[in-house]
Amino acid sequence: MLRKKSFESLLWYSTAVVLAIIFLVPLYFTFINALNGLASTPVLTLPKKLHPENFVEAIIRIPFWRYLKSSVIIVSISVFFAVWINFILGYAFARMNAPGKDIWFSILISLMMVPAFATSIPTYVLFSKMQITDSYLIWILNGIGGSPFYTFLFRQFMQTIPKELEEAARIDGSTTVGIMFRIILPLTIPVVAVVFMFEFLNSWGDFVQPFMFLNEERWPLSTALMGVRYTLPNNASVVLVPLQLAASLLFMIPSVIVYFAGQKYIKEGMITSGLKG
Amino acid sequence: MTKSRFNFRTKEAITFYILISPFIVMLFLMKLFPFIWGVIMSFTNYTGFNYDNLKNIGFDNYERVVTDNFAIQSLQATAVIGLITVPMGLLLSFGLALLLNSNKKGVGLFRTIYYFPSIIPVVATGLMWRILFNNDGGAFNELLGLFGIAPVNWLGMEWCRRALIIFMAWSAGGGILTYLAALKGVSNDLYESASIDGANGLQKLLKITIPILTPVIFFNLVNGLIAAWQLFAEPIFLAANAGSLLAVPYEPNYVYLVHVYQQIFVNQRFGYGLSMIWLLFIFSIVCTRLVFYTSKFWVFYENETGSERVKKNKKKTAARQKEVSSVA
Repeated sequence: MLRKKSFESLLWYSTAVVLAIIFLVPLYFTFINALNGLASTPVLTLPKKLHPENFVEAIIRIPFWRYLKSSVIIVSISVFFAVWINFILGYAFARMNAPGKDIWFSILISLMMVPAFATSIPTYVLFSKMQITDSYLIWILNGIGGSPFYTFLFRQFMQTIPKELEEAARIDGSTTVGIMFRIILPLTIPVVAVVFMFEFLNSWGDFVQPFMFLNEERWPLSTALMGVRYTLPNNASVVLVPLQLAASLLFMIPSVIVYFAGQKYIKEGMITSGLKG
Repeated sequence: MTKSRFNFRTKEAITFYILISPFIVMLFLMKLFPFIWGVIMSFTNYTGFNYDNLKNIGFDNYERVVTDNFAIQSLQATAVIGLITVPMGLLLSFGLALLLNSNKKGVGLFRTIYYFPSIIPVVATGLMWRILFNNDGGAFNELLGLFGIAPVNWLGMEWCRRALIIFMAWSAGGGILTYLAALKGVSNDLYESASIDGANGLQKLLKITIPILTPVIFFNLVNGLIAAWQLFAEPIFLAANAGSLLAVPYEPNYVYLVHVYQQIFVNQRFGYGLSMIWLLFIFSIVCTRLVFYTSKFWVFYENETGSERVKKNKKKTAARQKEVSSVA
């Protein structure tokens, strides 16, 4: 019996480790080649002479701070609205009764099935016709409209909060707004964290929407990095691979930080929300 | 008393509509209006400058899509890539989640590693893979060289689809979390009583785990299909002339949405591009509907997988198990 157990354990760990290596190899190559000399051939092991200055070079060779500023604006708008609007919508759908509520909720849910291009591309054509280009307005408007998936997460989670809490507060004279922010919000922190995290990852990495709605000077890092080519100043055909890789690693950092910070909430925020399809 | 009750209800309804009013307003302004306007424009010859003398050209744009070789080829490419990547994504996520559904030491680390590619923005991973796949100076060819394999032109015509599939397989773990959540919700009693009845691992997987997980498989399948039709980013990044959103991948990776972007952003054929969009939209909806239709044959909702429902049912299940085992 013990033998069978340890064999099973060995099998599990060897499978898990092999898979982990497969997943990590591309990242490992990226990392070591980002530290490689600018004129060197690609390496498969840590280069003899490390060039951490590549990361600095990757920043100073492009208008990095301008791009970053735009990224920060886009992420802030997106995250702010994603959390608050969907929190409010989730509350309304989870805790309130009104005629027509079910219809609105089923409209909301069916919007999840609508592919993004079906509204974003016509909106682009419409905006370019109305000449509302080069403004962050689209992120505000989309933010105000809420995101069905986040609303759904909030609603599912809020439905598990006992009604008595709310009723007690109402008897004590709390208003709906008071209940929402003083009673429901503190209990809903895991979902707030999950929505914050998802929307951060989403808006930080989105390169299509900025491309459509902003001029080049206002592109965020995501859109800009797509087109950035680090080349020799006197020969544009020589691509400086280590700098490209360093830039892509730098771009990952905020996503990774946010993911690790938010990871512990995923279990509570998503699983308790009953996200099972 | 009745009056105040009525007042409370009316008040509640009013508050409800105030709270959801931003959603309703934006639904009309940012979803329905562009949608309807876009549908109308798809029946015109709109190219950006001729708004004042638009012509209604009926279904001409749609007929052109059907006779446009690039559109048909790109649709085929999208479908073939989807036929590979959707099942691949389902299997990989499911398999990894099964592996991770364990109490072994270090399981959290492995979960983080497998899920990691799904949290990195595709801009970063795209840049990364393009360079790794590069013909000269790519780390993969160096790696193959170690085994004596001649360098492969990964981004070339012949290999680019395989490169795309590898890239997409690497980041296919996005479904892990939902599967894991569902797996954690499966009551252990079921497995225990199955063991008592002499079921082996495979039987447990086929008879217990998979049926209970069908709602999650369904959820991920629908999401995977919707994503497959709008595949765009990955092929663009692996395009040989990458460096812009308007890069043109080689034929095997020239997917439908790339063709649409070419029409709209490069050629400003708005009317034509929009009609392509609506055809894809119809495809996508029909496809999702079909899957929904099949769901009643293979998705089991009576055993909801949620931890909540399972907990509620735990007593019931336990009782049923006792019954079953006592009968056995």
